[in-house]
Amino acid sequence: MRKKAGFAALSGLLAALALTFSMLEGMLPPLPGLPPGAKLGLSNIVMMYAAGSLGLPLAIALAVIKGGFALLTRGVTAGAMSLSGGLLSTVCAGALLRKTRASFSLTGICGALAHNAGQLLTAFLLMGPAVLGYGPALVLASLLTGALTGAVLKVSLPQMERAGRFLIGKK
Amino acid sequence: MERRLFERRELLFVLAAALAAVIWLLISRSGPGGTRAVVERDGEIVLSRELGGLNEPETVEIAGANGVTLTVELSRDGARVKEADCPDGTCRRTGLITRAGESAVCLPGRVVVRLEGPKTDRSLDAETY
Repeated sequence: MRKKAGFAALSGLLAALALTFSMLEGMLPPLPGLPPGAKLGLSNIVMMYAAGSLGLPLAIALAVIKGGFALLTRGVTAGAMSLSGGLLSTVCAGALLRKTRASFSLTGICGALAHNAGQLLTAFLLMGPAVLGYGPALVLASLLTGALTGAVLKVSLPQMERAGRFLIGKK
Repeated sequence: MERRLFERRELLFVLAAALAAVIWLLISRSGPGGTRAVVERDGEIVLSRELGGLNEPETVEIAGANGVTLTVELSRDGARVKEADCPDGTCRRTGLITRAGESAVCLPGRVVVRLEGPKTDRSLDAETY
């Protein structure tokens, strides 16, 4: 039996964590070596934990909150980009974590690829085919950053699950 | 069964994705050199310049959407966004574009700088065989 208050608290914590990560990432200078437009995707770690351990509905709610935050702070374009990328990557990572035994690296990579695919699609709808030129570099960057976020997820998952168990008293 | 950090059988997927990206990259970079720079804002062409006619680099200010201003430098070699006051600077970091079909995109400002190649369609004044 789930503790409702604990679940609400955990959801709020995760939302705050995801927002903090994406803000932090926005404040970092562009990373050398990564192609223009690519990011580390640190908040994907939180989204993957939520999608894999707490269920897709919560993870989707987090993605919507993240998109809404981008909409309020950085405008319509950023909001649409965040929402499309976040939703697609969350669904993708959730499916891999719940339905398959895919490794952490592959989950991170597929999440990153889905994130970029969603954003590229949105950018395509907004700007036309010119944005597709960024595609190949983003795919290559996804392989790198996705493996990285997957590895961080593996390391941090036990801690996050312990915090989750403490708050919702399940498993 | 414990989920692992990495499975060897997944390497194939990763390599295939990397290979596809590299091939895609090579194809997109193998076009003819760009001869005309086109700047679009919200899908409308606001500037079009034959690069061959430029003896020295020309700098143009483009006012994009949401108050974003781009400084675009056009030269015989190609085009690049020299300065942009948007937060991410993706278009500036794209650097010099030289090939037909390449582009630098400013998403917040809704501006596309792209190069077109020599015309290959039949909108010519005259043709001989």
